[in-house]
Amino acid sequence: MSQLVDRPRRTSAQKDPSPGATTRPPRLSRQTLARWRRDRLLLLLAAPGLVVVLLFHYVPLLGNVVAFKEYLPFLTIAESPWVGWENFRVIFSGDPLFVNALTNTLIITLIQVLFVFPLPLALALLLNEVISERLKRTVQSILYLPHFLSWVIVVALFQQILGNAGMVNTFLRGHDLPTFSIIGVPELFEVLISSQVIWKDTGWGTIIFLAAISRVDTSLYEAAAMDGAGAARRLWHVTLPAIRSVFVLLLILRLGDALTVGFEQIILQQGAVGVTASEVLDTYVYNHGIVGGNWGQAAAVGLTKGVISVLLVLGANKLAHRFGERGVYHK
Amino acid sequence: MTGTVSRRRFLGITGTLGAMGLVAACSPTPGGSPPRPAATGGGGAALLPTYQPFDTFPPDLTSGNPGVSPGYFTYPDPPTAVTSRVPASGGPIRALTFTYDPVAPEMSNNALWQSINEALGTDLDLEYTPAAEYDARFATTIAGNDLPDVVAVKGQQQQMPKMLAAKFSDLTELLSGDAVLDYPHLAALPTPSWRSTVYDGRIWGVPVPRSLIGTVLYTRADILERAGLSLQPGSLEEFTEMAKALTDEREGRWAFGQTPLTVLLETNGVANTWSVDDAGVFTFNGRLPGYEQALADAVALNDLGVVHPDGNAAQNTQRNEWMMAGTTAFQIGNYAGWPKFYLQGAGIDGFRLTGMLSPAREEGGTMVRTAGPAASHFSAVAAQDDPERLAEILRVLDWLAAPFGSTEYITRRFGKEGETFTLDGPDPVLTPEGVNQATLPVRYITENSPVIFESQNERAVRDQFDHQEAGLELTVPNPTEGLYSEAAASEGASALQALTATEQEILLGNQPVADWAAAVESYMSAVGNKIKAEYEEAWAQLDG
Repeated sequence: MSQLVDRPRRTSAQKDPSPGATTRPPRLSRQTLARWRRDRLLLLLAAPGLVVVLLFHYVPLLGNVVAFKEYLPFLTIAESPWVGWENFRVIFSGDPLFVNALTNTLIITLIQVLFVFPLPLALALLLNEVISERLKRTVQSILYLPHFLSWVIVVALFQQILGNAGMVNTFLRGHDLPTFSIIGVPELFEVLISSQVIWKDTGWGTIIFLAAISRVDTSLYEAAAMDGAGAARRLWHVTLPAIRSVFVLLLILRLGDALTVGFEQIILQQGAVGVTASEVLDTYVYNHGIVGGNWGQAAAVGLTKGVISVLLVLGANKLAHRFGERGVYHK
Repeated sequence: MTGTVSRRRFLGITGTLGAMGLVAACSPTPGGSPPRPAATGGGGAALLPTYQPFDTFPPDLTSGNPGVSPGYFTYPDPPTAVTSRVPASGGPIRALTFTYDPVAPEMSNNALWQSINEALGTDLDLEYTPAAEYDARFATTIAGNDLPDVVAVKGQQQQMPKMLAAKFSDLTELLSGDAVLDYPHLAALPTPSWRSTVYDGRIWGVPVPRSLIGTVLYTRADILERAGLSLQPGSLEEFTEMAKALTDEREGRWAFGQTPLTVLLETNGVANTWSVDDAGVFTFNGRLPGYEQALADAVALNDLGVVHPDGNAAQNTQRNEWMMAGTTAFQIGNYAGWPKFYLQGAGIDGFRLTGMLSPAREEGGTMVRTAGPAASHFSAVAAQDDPERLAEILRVLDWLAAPFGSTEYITRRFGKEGETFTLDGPDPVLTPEGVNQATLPVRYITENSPVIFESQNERAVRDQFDHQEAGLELTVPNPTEGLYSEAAASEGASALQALTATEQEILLGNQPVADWAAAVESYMSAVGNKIKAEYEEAWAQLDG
């Protein structure tokens, strides 16, 4: 991570290959060979990982061909009949159920990117201000813990505490106080699932920010303090600029997942609130594609999602370059 | 495929109310109904295996209605062996099925499993997944082309007849008519249960038979009796009053763990998902006025606050726990789950479980009941080159269906005496190790015709028997049983999802009941009319 942050930017001179290099390819390949010989141990170490990536990430991509077929499991993929763009029709036909799922997904994404995504940064900054190392470590450990709970447990916890017959409401009812409904209220569904995401993953999300903050040169803080900068100014002029690249990098990666808003978390709670409020793209694919055996349609929606995600990442990366950031990869 | 939807919806992921009503009632798993002699896809009665029940072990309770399971107060004494030779001698037999129970210890640590293998003469290499994940496992197994010898086929799949023909053995020659008498325990499986195995006029497997009683409104009779309430209300009004009396929000007690839509549908005269008239015209029951009325009644019941406020958010296992803890007085579930409640209720003072029939809407009105499927599913045999191997596999299946009262049954369900079970008088009782090991789901490959037996609990046997006897009287046969509609299996699930979603929104109070009619019409135009036409054609072929 620190490499990403600290490495100097390439200049345009570095970027353009020198004319000499292009005219003498044999020498280049000798260099390459020499480099390979030099790094052979490292390359050997990387090989198993590369094989795994190829085998389990790239080869299965070929299965996307199902999106253009009427796939029947008892035939092979090759034997299943071609149907062209038929499986994609659901995306473009304006089917109200699909549109509803897409709308919900976009709303949840917007809420999560705007309000949930920056929270780990805020928490990391707060943690960074804790002076006692022991206290800081303890607090961090407690904050990391929920990340390791599965969604089934998190959803059950929320229900046991906030449910209509949950701990809080049972207490209120027992003391003749008015009760409240959060679970099962369609209007509050986005808030509920966002709160669950915050509770579960904000602590975990601080790790990268804390690492980035710890890399900031302390002499900068000292210099700023000497110049009379208070805590707020030091935060604004030293800390935040130093970790801006990391923030942008994570934001771009988050956009790559923009259309994935938590399948398991949501499908576990659909019964309580109904599908109008809770159907998102992933649950739509499950309910209409997988459950109904429409593998082709499920693959078509998944493929489209993947393409949109790639476009979002590329677009966000380009935008980051415009603003002088490094983004996920070099210009 | 819709059957799968209903079960999954019903038991697991969302635990929706929707499942309770339309979808639960909608299971197309072909079951049995006495008046239908014929089978799927044009096969006549001659196709089905000859029925030859066992009468070696006379039961304590028998009914004039052949659909009612016989009741036993004690295990037949002495148990006798019903097979004379070890069924297999070849290589291990691989089987794939599912379970609703926890995972059993592996073969090397499972004395019960080992004793089954010993009795079979070969290793029964059993793979299984939780029931909710079985569809995915089935699809990948079929797609992966590495079929075990015996594969459970659950629900209806797309292109079912072609899929069966491509991958599995046609068992017609070996099991049809009197041929089945070579496998006497398979011949003792009830005729209706075989219908689910027939496609294109051929027999493709061996069923896992079930009582036709289907879905039960489980009732904590001890709680009702303490409250001075009748165990069988005579009208919807009495039923509602009863629910109010059983609810005390401050004490954390409610009548129901979920909106009892299945009950209210029957109360309004709606049984099964489809009905048929004398002319062979099918009607989707969602279009009946009674269906909309049932939805309105369900919403009214919700508004009274007699349903657990987190019921819609809960999983079905949670609702079982609520009933066992007395948080609720009722639970809706499959009949097959009944004996499990006695295990869980062993520590509850005065625990008594009964089944309540759905009352007629008005006192003295006609009561109806949705038919349960006659088979949970069936086990197909992968295509085999060697006829002797096929016969061997069938002999193993035959052994697995050995009747209640036999020593084979004891080996299958209880394992080895002294190790996994002990005898309490004539009754085998599992030891604590045995309880763990007995979750091995051999009974979901195939099993004997259902019986009612509860060790040392005569009242429990009577309660189940009485419920079957009273309930089966009212059961309306499911006309789609044994019929195959390609539209229902391929396009039906997605359209039904949309309809179920509307039903759920109505029950949650997010949409008015008035929205139902439009949702049903769009279901009909999407796929319902096509399914209707296919059922009518299949029906005409069968009866014509």
